[in-house]
Amino acid sequence: MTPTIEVIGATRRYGAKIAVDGVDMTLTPGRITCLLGPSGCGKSTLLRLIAGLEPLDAGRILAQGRDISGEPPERRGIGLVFQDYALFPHISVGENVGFGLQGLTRAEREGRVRTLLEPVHLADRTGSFPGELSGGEQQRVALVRALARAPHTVLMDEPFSGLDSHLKGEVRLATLKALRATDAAVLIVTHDAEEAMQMADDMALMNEGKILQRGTPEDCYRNPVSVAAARLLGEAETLDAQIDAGQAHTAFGDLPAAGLRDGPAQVMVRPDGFVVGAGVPAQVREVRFVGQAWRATLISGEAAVSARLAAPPAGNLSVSIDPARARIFVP
Amino acid sequence: MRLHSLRPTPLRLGALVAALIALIPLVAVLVTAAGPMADSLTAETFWRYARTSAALVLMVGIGTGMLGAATAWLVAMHDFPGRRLFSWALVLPMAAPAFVLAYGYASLFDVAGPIRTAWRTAFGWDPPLEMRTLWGAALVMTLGFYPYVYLTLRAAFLSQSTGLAEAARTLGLTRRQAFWRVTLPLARPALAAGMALAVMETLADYGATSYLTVQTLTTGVVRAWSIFYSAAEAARLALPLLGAAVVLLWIERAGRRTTSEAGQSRWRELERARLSGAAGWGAAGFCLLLIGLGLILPLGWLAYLGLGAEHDMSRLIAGGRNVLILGLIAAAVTTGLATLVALGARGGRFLPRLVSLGYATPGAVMAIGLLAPAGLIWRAFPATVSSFLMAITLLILAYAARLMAAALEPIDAGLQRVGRSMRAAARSLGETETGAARRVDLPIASGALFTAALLVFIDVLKELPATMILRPFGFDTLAVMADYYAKDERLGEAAWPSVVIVLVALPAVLWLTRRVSHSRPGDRT
Repeated sequence: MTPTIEVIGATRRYGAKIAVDGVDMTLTPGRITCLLGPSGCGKSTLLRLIAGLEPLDAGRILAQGRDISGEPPERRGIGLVFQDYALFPHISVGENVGFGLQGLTRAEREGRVRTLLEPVHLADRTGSFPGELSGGEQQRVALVRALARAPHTVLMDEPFSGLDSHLKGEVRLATLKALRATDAAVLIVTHDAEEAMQMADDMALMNEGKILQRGTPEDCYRNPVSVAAARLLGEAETLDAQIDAGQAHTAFGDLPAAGLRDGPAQVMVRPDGFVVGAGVPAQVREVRFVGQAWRATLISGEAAVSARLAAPPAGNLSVSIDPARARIFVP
Repeated sequence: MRLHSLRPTPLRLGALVAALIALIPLVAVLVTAAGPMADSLTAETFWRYARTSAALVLMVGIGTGMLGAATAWLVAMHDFPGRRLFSWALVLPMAAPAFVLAYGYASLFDVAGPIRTAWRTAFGWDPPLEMRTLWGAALVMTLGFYPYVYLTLRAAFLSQSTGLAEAARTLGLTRRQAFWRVTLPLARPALAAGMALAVMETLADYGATSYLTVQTLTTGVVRAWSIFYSAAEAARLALPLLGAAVVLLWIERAGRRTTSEAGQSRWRELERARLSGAAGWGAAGFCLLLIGLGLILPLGWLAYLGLGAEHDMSRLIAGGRNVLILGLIAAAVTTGLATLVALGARGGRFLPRLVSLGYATPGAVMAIGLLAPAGLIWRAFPATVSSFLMAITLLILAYAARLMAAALEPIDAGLQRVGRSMRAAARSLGETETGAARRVDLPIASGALFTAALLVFIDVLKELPATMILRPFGFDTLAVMADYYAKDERLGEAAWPSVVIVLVALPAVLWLTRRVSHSRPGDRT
């Protein structure tokens, strides 16, 4: 399938700081890509570059094969949903949704607005003003407005961050449904790993202006390419390790490391990767109940980690590392 | 965004043109000053004018600083009878042009005036209370301009985080010590900014100083042109005023920047100390005295003189009509240009700075600066323009160049309500930059546009020196009429246009200060 958007070597500098550093990325029709990264990593800048709200310092952006790098935002055929929704406060919901539908007669426009608002259950609110809507309703209006011109690409910047946590799940599902009903390529920028994994067909992990890794959510979670990539998708403990003859030795026991070069390495372990049972004796400190599990600090020699345990530890433990929840990185 | 903003778009070009309108007169002053001239201006005269201006600035600066600080401190930090009323009534003197106060005071304290006559009768000797002196001019302007300091300082006090003063209290300072060691030092930049504004007005004044026979650089500029027709001499006198404008603008901007950083946590009403009994009535009396001296006494005396004098109603109506026409056109043009600057230079600092320089420049200097470019146009197309239209156009340009920054401020504030993402949303929905401005920015900021237009109108109503220099022959505004009658010692007749100006300006000034101060967080008085 031909990509809808191709970003090639996109670079954006602010003075000495490189916000986006030679990023390549493709978006394909009907697929949702989540761009995940910590705040300040350049992910919003990348979105603004694609939308044409920032100029590129280097690189190109193609839309359906055509170079749009120099096009102003109004001619890119890209829909945008903003973190703060950016609904126009001085016009009604209906006029907001119909804002981009120039060239239609009034009746045509109103009809189209109604068909757009129907599936998100807002057809009866066309006359309301944005200020009269709840946060969830505003989010839906912003989405529908972005879809109104049938854009080939929809970009969403932290679209759920303004919502109360109990609303988020519901709004995410409604958003997915509305997006699936189109054939647009979708890019969602977020800093929330759980949100990204819930929404994404494809993931792109970004840090310090660069894309670290791309793949399906599961692939990214299970096979992170670096400690930094692993940390983006959830908590990760790192341990110094020494590889010797196919075994990685850590303070919390050994891991199989077949085929890896002998020498120093780093082992990344998810907090639930510490298994109680036969293994290395560990001191237990600061045990806390955190809902579905217990968190405890485990100390072995010089190393201290925060582990997630299924049962409350009674005194000091003997632990090992579950190889399925750990990765070895050789520098 | 920086590189981005160099790409020419219609809005950016418009902003550039608008900024040029503010800049050209200033450059023209520099060029004219370098030109040849007669020997009518001696170095001795120049320095005498400059010394007088400097002395006046010093006295008014200190005077407004003290009065403004005292009133802001009383109103923002204390409770006393009538506090809420005084919190807005203290700005009332802003409605009166300084020349109106000057007429009132000069007449009240004239040798044959009511106060000195009564004094002589009672005590048998004449008190040394002559208003036609440097001291008199300083007094009049201090009473007229202290609200600039009051407003900026009050805003600074109210926007300061209460947490800072509270922290000082928990660290062992009394309320008074906390004020001197925390609240006031933090508001120092705002005090400087307010004083800079008051000093700008002082340097811009022509009507009051010339009536009180104080010869400053500004009166010198007007005299050089209207008596000797020497633009070069006027421009040379204007040079130090331009220099002062740059310095004052820098002080004012620096003050503003720090003020907005002083309070970052949540807004809470400052806890006010209750002044009971004599202290409370003393505070109320002090505020009442200031409003009385700054507006009611001189205006009341003028009105009294006016009622006892003959007046020419048809001239009054003509003057009113003229200033109405000028004011409406100037308001529309200036607001339009300021909107272009606001939209086109968004995020940038340079063009707004340039425009602000116009605001800091006295109107007389602006007018002199427009004479040279006008001469060029005149020579290029001698027959095509009527001199009347040319003069009106120049006058409108002078108002626009000088007042664009005043209009820019509320428009900028209004446009700040339009978020960056809202504008981007309009673009992504297919609107061009100009289309987004038309369909999103301007409708949302429409209230601010009206505020800006009203500000300009009121300033045009009170404006004297630029109007005197540039107006078409025989085209009098109310202020020009007042000046003419007053210089002719027909104060009763000068009173009529003066009182009309103040009565029109009063409600507008009240509405404007309330509107502007309400847009600041933390201010609910």
